[in-house]
Amino acid sequence: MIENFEDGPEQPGDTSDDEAVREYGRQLAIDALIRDAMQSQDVVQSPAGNIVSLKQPRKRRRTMMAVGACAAAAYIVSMLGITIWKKDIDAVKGTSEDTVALDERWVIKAAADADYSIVEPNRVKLRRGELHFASLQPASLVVETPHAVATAEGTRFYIGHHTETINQPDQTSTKQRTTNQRTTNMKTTTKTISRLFVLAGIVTMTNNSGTVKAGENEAVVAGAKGAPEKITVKANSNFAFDLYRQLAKENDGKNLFFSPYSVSGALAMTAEGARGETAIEMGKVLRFPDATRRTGDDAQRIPWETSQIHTGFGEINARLNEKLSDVDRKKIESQIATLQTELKAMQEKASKKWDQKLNAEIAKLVAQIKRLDGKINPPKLAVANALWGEKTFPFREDYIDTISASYKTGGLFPIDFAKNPEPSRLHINDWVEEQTSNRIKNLIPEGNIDGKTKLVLTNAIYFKGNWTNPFDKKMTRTRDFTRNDGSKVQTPIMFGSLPVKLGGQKIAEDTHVSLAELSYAGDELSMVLITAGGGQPLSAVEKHLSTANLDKWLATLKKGHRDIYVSLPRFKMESKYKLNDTLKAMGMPTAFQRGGADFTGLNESYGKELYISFVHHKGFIDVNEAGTEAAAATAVGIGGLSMPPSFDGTRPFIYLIRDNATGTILFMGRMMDPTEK
Amino acid sequence: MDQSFNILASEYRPMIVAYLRSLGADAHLAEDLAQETFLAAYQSLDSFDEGGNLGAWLRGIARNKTLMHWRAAAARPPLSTDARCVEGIDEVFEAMDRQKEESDWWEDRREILRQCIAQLSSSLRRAIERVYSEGETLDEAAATLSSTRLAIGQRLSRARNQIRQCVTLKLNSVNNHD
Repeated sequence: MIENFEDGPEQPGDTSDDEAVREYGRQLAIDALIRDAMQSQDVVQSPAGNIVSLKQPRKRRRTMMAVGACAAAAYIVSMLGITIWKKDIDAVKGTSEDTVALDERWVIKAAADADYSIVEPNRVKLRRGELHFASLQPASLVVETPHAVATAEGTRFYIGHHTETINQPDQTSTKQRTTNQRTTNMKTTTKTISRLFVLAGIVTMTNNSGTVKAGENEAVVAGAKGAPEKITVKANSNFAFDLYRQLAKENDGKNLFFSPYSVSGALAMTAEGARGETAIEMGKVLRFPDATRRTGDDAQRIPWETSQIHTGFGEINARLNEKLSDVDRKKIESQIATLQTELKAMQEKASKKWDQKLNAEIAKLVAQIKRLDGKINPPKLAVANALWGEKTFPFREDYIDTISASYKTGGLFPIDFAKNPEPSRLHINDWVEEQTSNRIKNLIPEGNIDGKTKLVLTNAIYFKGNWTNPFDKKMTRTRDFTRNDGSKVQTPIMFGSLPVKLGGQKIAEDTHVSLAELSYAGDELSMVLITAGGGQPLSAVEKHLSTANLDKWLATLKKGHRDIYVSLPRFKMESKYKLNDTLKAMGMPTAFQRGGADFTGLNESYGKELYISFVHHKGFIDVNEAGTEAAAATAVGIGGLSMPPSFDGTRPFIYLIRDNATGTILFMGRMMDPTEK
Repeated sequence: MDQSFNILASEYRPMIVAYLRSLGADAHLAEDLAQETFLAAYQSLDSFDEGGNLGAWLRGIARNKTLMHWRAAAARPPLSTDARCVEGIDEVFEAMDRQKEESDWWEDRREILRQCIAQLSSSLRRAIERVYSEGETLDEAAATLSSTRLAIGQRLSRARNQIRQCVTLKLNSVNNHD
């Protein structure tokens, strides 16, 4: 059969034009090569690199080449960043490392450039690149890197060993590299680090100088010298609650909805270009941990060791954008098929005779199948970042390199703000719309981009997930929702007896917090609902809201789900915030001051004329019987110049959509009145 | 068939399948013609000059097999088999050819392509993923990406051009350092 070229290159209009037909041939060849490269790919694209699923022993490259040719090829390949087994004597000789398989309780995924070997079933040696480990059952594992040894016991974590290149302006020269003038007056230094990022459980990292334990949502860095350094990515959660408090104050008694992750992501990218007091304030508002404060001669100018923060964002983004590989999908599909056969047999047996134990086993099996099904049909979650820069403005290349590497912005999109501000605004808004499946429109309002705009930083996040246990539409009724002041409004309330995790505790003399966790298919993400017990207003809980308290409250969520009666309003809302004053009030006024802000990290010569002209944030959420759809986007513009077993959602409540593995709060809101749009 | 030829065939097979597809064969026909190509190659192995370009020799056989297929089907061959078009196709495949004793060379070429795809802007990458990876038609991709068929077609065209430039640059740097 002839290939259907309908989706391929367009045929030349004039087939007598020899060159046009030749060019058509080149296009056909590229078309076929793209198809071949993409369809042969058994990897999951992730911003952290190509993650290769390794259900089977990793295929070794054949070492047929002569030694001389091997060196040349290795050079070429490493230049291109292509995976190759290093010419380590071990690897070429093919020691026992070749044949040892990893303990099957562990699932390992490797980035395309990873160079590692399985030394023993529970010991892996990592020489370069990134590995992701997840244990299916409790099992021990030791990962050795050149700088440290990580010991894990049944958990999920990333571990990497990298050479990092740091570009700093050469002190002997005041010139800088720019996007337009490729001068090379930068001093480049390299350092190697081993880093660990824990998604679940505890991993210990040890070297000659000390030991550090990292728990969920924590990262550890070990350099060539010194003890492993513990850094935290809890900054985002702290910022989330600070922002919530400030927005709650500014929107007294009103609904709230925003994505703290989107705002902090856009601001963290902006902070990389800030210097001096501007940077100090931004870092404090973003709650960069004290451990990331720099010391030394230029600490006043560059106050934060932001590489650790950006690394954290890069790792979280990679995780959130991660997709299931074909190999994993097939494995789960085959598991489901086996379980379904088992289920059918059990159901047949149960139909003949009432057996309580058997029925309980059937229920367990059904839940297991549902969980696995959620893994192959998980919620849609995507995060994207972009930098839009005035095409004539010379941005520091090291800034663009740093941001591109961690936030996968694809470099800087040159744009003509100077001459075409309005089309530029529409172009950025279109990008946001596309990233959020058309849920966030017109993020940057008319008039906000002008000829003086130099840079716009955008972050967009989109989520769509079905509940693991959906509400029955037929059960939804129009009922009273009691507002904080005791008045009532009529709104559709969803009811259901659903398996939910419940928690709660006394937080003050007369205040009890009550929590419920509703999971989304796949159990990787969930919505946590928080309300005040005993008829107290929501503010009684709001004043105790913090990362530490949330951790305590979440710890009260009972392990395992139990069927409880849940009522929750069906609601849909859009939100819009201009965060300039909010952020100033939170402690970063300098960044917004014309002539006062310092963004010399963006451009050494003109950076002191730059300032943040706007921070716009928009959100959308639709909670219904089937699940949730949520989207949010942020644009930062830089211009020149004991409770009964139930959860009552018919009173005001706070809600968070969390990534369970990292604890990252993706979306956050407050429901005060479901009839308010 | 001896073992060494089997190894050779498995190394060149994906390249030949891609080549046949660019000549207009769909996935099934390309597999069939690749089978015939390697069988013919094995039978005439003696005629292959040891110092010659094996990839080009195999592509020549594949090209003949394609033309024979159209002749046998008594159908009008597609424009992709026109001599001028084949010239363009060959130009691209020659640039992708194995260099010296590279092992796993085709996987490395694929990796270059994947790297170039990863460097595309997100809107172009999404269009590529929908059509090439998910196998969606232009209309389906337009619906998925809330865009129009025309816009998706344009994105694909832009993406192909950017990938081609990127691949050329990377391959040049491979050849310069070889």
